[in-house]
Amino acid sequence: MSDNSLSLNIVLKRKDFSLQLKEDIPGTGITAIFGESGAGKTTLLRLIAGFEKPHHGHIKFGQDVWYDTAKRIHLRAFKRPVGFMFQGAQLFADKTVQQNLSYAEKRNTADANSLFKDDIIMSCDIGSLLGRYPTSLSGGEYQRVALARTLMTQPDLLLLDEPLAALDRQRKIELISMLEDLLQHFRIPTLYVSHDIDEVSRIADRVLMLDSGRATSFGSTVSTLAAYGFEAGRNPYEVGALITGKVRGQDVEFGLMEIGIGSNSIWLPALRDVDPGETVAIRISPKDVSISVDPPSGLSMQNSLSCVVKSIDDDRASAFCTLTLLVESEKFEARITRKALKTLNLQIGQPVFALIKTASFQR
Amino acid sequence: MTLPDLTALWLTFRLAAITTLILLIIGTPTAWWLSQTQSRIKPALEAMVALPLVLPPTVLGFYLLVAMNPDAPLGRLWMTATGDTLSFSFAGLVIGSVIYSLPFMVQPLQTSFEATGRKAMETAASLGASPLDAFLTVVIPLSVRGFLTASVLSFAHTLGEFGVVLMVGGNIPGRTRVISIEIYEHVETLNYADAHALSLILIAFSFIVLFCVYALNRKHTVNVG
Repeated sequence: MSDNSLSLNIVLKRKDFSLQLKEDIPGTGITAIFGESGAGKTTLLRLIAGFEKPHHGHIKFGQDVWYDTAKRIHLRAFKRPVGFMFQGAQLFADKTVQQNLSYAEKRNTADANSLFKDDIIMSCDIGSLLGRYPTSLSGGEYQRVALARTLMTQPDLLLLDEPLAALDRQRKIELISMLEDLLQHFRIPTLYVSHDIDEVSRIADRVLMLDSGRATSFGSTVSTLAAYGFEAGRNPYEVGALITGKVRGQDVEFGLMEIGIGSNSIWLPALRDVDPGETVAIRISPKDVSISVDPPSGLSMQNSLSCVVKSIDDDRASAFCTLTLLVESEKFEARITRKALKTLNLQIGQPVFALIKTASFQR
Repeated sequence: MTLPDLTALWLTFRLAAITTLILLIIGTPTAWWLSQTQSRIKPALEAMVALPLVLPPTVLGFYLLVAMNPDAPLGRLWMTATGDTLSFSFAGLVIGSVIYSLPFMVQPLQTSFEATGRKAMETAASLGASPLDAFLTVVIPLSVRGFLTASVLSFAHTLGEFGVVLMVGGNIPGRTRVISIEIYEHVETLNYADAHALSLILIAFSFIVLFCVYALNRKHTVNVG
């Protein structure tokens, strides 16, 4: 446990909702708070920020007590060294971008220098927006300014409430890489609320899974999401399975990286900061997997895994069925048409080749 | 047409300006409290603030007259403090006008605060601003239009006041004779020329003020809305 871990012991009761949580969250990296809407994700952030009071328990950050029922301590929100980026962000509409930033800068009690400010403006790429009013900004620009303003307070802990929710797909992709770089650059421990598994699996070091105000699991992103993906009742088509592999080497010419999964190899676009021998997680969405009974050749798809059919979920109500496949000891799924299932005459226990259209790295 | 005596006009503007100023001071915290509270007495307070909207001004004036009587506690207190009676005085008119125009200040402000208040306060707090700091530097600038609307409505409403003034102020020239009563007097004495002149001045002035407000509001929309 590091010095700045966030120790939560919270009981909150409302008429139609209760939240009960006892976790120690390490004060490093990015912790995703993941769950359906209504699970209490935002409420949890608001409790940590001091906008809501729990009925019992404590909230401690490192040595500092922010809330403690027994000691009757409640540090008010504006005194907590927390940067909270609200859903919908809330830039001050009557102030320019520059004035929004200065507002936070002036109230920053930690000693900052102008270098810090320039660094933030550059990192968030908002230098050209300083004279503009918030209403004239695009969705992506708006979120970047809001993030910059939050960073301007030099928080010890960053709370981001669905920072990408309002954006279209393209902006999301742009902003998430910026966010990754920023959070690594400024090294601020972050709680990241989201109900989007893509975001979470990409950005988080660990995941706290919330359901109806209770933590259902808490652990590394890979293990938490893998367990979630196979849980009964979930929709696995959106989730995708996580399988782990070892980096075998790089192909600098084509910018690819060879990942070994048992005796198989697949090639994916190279990651910057991963070295050979490291274990990485790869996410495979069921809709991106095709099945061949013979070893494939002459395809543009480079990646095929030799695996075994473990089970077949044949839903008569739809045109599709789901195969669970085993590669070494790892499970993933393929979604194929029921007609293909019949034509290929697939059986449980049969060795097949899974062709992976796309797969992505997970941190 | 010669210009009529403008004492009443000047007195009326002074009354409206002072009333608006006092209402800003007491109406702002009241409206803020109403916009944020979840207290059970909120509906009761809201109803009390709205009362002057529905009561005949004579009812309000009647009770004010009773309260300002030198024998009543308020009237006596005023008498000992200033040596003057509260009823039939300019101060009495101000008190009456403040109560009479209270909803015109509180309601627009409350609406405005409800729209921006809590979110803006929390955002400011997350940036390290104390509640007072946040209110002064974020909520008030975001509520400029609310303040403008509330002030203009209160001012204009006080200008047109008749019933309450008649009850508590009487009709003392230079002291409590406001323009609406002056016009009434002129009409009663069949001095239509002066009634016309004063009425026209009032219409022109009211139009110009409202026009400025709407023009200003439009300009604000560009930046704020």
